[in-house]
Amino acid sequence: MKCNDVQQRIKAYLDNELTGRDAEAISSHIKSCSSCSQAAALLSRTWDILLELPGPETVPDLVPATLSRIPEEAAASFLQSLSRLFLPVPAPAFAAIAIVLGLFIGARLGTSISTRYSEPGATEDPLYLEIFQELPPESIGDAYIQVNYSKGDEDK
Amino acid sequence: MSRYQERVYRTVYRFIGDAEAARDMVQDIFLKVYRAAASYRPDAGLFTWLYRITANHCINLLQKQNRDPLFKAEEPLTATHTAGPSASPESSLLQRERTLMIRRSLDALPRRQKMAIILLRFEGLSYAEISNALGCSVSAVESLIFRGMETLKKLLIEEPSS
Repeated sequence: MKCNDVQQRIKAYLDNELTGRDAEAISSHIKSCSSCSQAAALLSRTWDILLELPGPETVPDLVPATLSRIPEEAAASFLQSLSRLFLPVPAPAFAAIAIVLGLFIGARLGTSISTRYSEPGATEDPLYLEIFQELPPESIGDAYIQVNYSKGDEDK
Repeated sequence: MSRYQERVYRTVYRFIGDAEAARDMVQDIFLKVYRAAASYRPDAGLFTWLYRITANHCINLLQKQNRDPLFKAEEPLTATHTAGPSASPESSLLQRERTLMIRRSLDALPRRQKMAIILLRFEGLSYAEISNALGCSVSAVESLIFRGMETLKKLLIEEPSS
């Protein structure tokens, strides 16, 4: 085995990740090769130095904070799935659909409202004043009609 | 979650070196776990699955934010980060500088090499478990660790002052 090949696998060997012939070949090479033996020693030293890197001082309890985010998460995923529904529709097509839908709903609502509130037998004549003829006598409306229209009649 | 948060937090903290950011990231990771819970298959170990989500989150987030390394060198290191409360100011300072040097060396590694080394060194995962966490072959893990260790050897032993 060449030194270059051995040095590429020394770390795996030191980590006990090699078995059988591979492990034996590297082990016997290191014993007989000062360069590879030195490389193995340097790797071990580097490995030890890494342990000086401190871990966190304390591990905070993140359960409550995470659980409090789950409803937001559920709402966000609902909105996401809604947006996914509309994603395949290009913006101009979406706008056209919205306008057509709006016109249709508007037309339907308009018809329905005008039917509900129009008097049966009512006419579109702007001078149609039948409504005033039904005013109860001596009401304010009747008094108004009497004062204005009686006066007009007298003038004629 | 409380059973697993310690390992996840430790891994994230070692990866980014910032406690505040680690807290936020661990919450994000557990939300990802919550979202992906339906896709979990018991044949894959739960820890392996968790490490996979953790590793992906750390690697992808840093890639997106282009904030590698996240570690703030000016972050004050407390007594447990230095030589201990009874140490002299000189030895505390030396220890602090050494810790920073190790941190910077680790941060100098490409993200996948760094994660492979953290999982091996600090979490004690095997190459096979790391390959599951990183979604690659065992020989790819061997290569990641070899290249990472070569860089660390240069930075920590051969030319530590550069």
